[in-house]
Amino acid sequence: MALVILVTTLRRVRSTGALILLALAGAACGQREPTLTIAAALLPNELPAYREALRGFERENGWRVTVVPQQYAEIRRALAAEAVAGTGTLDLVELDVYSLPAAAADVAVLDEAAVTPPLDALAPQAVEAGRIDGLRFLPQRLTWQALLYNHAVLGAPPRTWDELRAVAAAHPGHIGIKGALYEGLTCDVLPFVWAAGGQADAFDDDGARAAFHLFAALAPYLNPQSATFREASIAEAQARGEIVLHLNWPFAMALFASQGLAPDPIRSAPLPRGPAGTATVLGGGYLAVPRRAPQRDRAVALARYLLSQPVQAQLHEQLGWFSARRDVGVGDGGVLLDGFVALRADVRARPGGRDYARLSRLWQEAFRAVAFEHSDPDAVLVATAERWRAERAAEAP
Amino acid sequence: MRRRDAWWLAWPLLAALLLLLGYPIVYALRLAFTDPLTGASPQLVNFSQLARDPLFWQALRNNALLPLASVALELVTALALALFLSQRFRGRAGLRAIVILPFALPEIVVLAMMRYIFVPRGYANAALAALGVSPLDWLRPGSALAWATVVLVDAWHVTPVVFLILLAALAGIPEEIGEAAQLDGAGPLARLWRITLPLLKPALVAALLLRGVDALRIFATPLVLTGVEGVPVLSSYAYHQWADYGNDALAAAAATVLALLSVTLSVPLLRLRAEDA
Amino acid sequence: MRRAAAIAIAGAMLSCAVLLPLALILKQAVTPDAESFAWPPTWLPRQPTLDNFRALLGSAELPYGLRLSVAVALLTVLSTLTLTVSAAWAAARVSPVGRRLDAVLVVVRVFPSLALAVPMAVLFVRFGLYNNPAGIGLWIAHTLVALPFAFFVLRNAFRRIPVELEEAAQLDGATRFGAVWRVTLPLARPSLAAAALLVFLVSWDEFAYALLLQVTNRPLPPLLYYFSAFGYPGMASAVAAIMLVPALAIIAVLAPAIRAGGLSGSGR
Repeated sequence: MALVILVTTLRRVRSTGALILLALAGAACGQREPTLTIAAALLPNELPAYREALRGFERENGWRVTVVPQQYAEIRRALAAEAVAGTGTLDLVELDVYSLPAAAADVAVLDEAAVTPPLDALAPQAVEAGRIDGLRFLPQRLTWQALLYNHAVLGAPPRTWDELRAVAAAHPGHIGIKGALYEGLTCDVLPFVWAAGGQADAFDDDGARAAFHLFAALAPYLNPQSATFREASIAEAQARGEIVLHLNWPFAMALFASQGLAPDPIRSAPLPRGPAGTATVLGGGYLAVPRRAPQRDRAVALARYLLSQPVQAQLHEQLGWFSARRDVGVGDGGVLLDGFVALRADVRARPGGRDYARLSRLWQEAFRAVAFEHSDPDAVLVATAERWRAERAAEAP
Repeated sequence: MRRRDAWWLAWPLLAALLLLLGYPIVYALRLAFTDPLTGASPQLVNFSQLARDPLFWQALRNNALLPLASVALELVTALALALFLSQRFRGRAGLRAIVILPFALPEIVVLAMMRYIFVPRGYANAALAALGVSPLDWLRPGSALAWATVVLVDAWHVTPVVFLILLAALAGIPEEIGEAAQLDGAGPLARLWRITLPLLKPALVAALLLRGVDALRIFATPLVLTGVEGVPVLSSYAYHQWADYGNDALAAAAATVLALLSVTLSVPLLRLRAEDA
Repeated sequence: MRRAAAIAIAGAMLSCAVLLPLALILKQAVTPDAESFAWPPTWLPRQPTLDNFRALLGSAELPYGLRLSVAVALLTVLSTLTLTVSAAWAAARVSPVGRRLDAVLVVVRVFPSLALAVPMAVLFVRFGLYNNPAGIGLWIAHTLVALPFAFFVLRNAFRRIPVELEEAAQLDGATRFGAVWRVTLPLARPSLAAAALLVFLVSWDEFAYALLLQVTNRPLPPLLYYFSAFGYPGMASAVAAIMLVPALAIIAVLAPAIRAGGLSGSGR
């Protein structure tokens, strides 16, 4: 009885069925030539330049390349899902440098001979970060954070911590920090800790204390939206003039330039000097071939293409990406990336290892306690150090 | 047509529900009660971790209070609108169509619009500035104003539904009753209070219960307007655990708490519908 | 006279409160981003442009997302109607069955989406349905979301068709099934169409499952969220404008039914 009703209902929606088939056919339609799919952390304004760079590859090989722009966390999730599922659509993925250890199991080991033409031109430290049980990741771009400030309002950027305090006091509510509970907050905190001589895994050494005293001093002047700011929302706030300075990656300068806001009034500058000098945090996108990639050899060919000198130079010129290749100049970013270029020697990597995620979370919570709940910085750091020691002891045996 | 045959007709639907609703719920319970580090089950470790997270408690509190405020605002506004738009005047049909419009818009479109209106340098503050009033920080994380903005936006989107229910109920009240009361000397307010509202009570209660439970599902509104940390609710907290930390077990635990709240509050709603039917 | 003035003022304020946000987002869709970020914001675009739409069409995501949204919505209509028609008829004709189904479907209707979306996401990863390019996983989730809406509309529709008509057909020699097929279903056709449109709209608008179950293969609602969260007001508003077209069209078609109360009880 039910089956009959099922069928009759189907007949009733016959025309709908035809429409569906058409839609699905349309969806499957693009796949006549061999197509490679690459997932990269691109913003909408970066997409056209990246696609332009890929056109050379498409012409040489007669293949189409589909670019799927996503955030690193989402690429990571899609990659993990495909690894579990046993089938995949992604041929090449770009992952954030700090998530490489966690993603290592889901990507294939690369044959070093097959990628040697670009491999030997890459800076060795950058390549090292991609060697986890074999060479799995190749650096497509290196990034680090710089200070992005409103030149028209501030004139000169703050060059020391004292100047930063003065600027904050002069512009209350206009200082932004990416204070949401996520990895980006750690990227804002660690440069200050390092600039005071602290270690990323110590929590209550002198450097951390100095940095957190700075945060406590800045707390009353932070823009309240800082509690939920992430890279994109903080860039938007700067674009709207709601804040006059913040830390961010090079993509933000490209974004501002596309909106006509850079280099005037928004410019880049090195991070303010701390008691022990200057430091900034390393980020970067590494290419990897998923274990489930449908076309592994072609994916490797695409990776080689993306890391070749002409392409890396083109990406640097159009998007301001810093290349890991030693033969691509860093100074050609133009006035937009001045601040970034000046920090080149002060870039430090976040600690590797599987427990980095928990370490990072502790920094995030410590910062939020000091900045948004106005807790005493020393007390918070001591408590956090305790928690870290307890957690490591709990898993040691 | 006999009950057994009728149940046969219903089996495709019930089978689908069992699969689509039942299976994930059971799986969520398993995720929530399993220790992700050791795989041991049943364990309460996820719930104790939730209990230690202040953001979770904020989310729980907001999830209980936001629906109350939102439904209250919706009921009052919808009642006012229904009373206004059940009187006879020219252009009534057009106004009724306009009032229904917010609910016709896709939720994400409404939220994107409202976000651009309420950001610190958005249209709302521009209007205030034009009037010479100093701007308000409508979406300031953790503030009462952000809370109120979320309530306002949610009410804006959903009031048309309550409006329609009350309008239909008002249409069911015969005019003679009002006219009789008027002859007896009752003023408009008295008529409203003593006649209209009691007659509307069933519709009001039905709307209250339906919207009250429905409002527990609130997810996109605080997420889009303020971000997870701004006005946390259980849904966005679960999403945050899953998306930002990949913590399936904690996300499932928060989802379980939310589901429990929802099911508990559904009971009076179901009882009311059973009485009505 | 005073009453007319008061009504006019109230009507104007109401229209403003409803229409102004809508007008603003349409305005933003044709405004360049540089102007959208300026302070104070403009109420009418000073330099109207179609660049936002052009940029959208040139991106990979919009055409794909549009196709995905449409395909998933159509599939959802098919699966939902198939599953609910017979159950709705049974619920309308046999009240004990109707009461039980009513209770079940109300619970489905009010159940929090996130409470299901999280375990579904994890499950779909296991079954290879997560982030499915054809949106199969999303289709499954949307079917669940849409079932209560279709059920209530169809059940009310069948209730309104007197059972005497079927009984009369049976007296004329038809089987029970034949009576339904030849008498009830044709009379219910407008409601079937209304239910189909409503289900399409529910799937088209749905955000929570789309956000959780699809990542690199995205339908329109998460795409809108992504653009607006990433500081692209022009493109976000353009996606919003595109999403509005079917939504408003469907509501326009369904408006008489809504006003007649045919869709009440679904609480949509």
